[in-house]
Amino acid sequence: MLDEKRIQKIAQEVASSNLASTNISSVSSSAAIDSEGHEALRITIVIEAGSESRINGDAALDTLVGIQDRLRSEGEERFAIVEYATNEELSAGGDS
Amino acid sequence: MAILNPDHLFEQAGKLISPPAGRPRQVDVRPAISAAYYAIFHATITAAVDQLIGVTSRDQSRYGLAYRSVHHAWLRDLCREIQKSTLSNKFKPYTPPSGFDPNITAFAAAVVELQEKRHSADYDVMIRMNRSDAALAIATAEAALNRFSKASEPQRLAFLSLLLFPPR
Repeated sequence: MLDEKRIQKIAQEVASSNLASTNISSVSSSAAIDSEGHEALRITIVIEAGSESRINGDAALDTLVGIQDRLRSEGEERFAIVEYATNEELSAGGDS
Repeated sequence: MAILNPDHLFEQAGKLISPPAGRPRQVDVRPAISAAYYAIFHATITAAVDQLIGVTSRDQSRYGLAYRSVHHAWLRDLCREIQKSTLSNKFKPYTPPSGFDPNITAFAAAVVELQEKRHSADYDVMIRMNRSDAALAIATAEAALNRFSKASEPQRLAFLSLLLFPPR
């Protein structure tokens, strides 16, 4: 099981190399439980508002695969849920 | 027969997260993520059953029977399995000699990820689903289907055969 710092470093490196055209504000990770009740990881890539439209599907898919491959190769067995958000979305409340 | 067109599901998902004004609501972001998963789910099953029963037999009851035989859990487990560096022995006789190629394994990674997101979108009220994440879930699902179609026929057939006939 890798520590949070290492997980974030891996995710940051993979995201930066695949999402070169996007400004990545930060990357965070936290423990989660997957839909089957197993321990998992939630990795959040924080991007600048509106930049999701500049990320194409191949880049997003390569980021997902790259993060999962790197984590597995370093012995991390938890499933990684990779998600995106902007700072505005992270601080938003209510139903919108 | 009314097979869901994946392009229509992607289009629906895109509309849900693009309200005329303001941010989309949770009741729109969540089904957008579900639609992205279901696009990949239905496209995959359609490809499998078209191979087994035949595209010209889509109006036959046996087509529907085969279609309903695939479960989400098996699709997930199969996709997890083929991402392993060493496949379990029971899978090996049915996989390509050099294993599954990166197009298939990337597709498989997207299936597992999107199924997990779909589950959260449908059931987990403790997390907030974001528009940007939904937009990239849609884009990821589209890219994954493209990768699947780019894989060679033997690769695709090996995957689809395992999907319809779980090895014992």
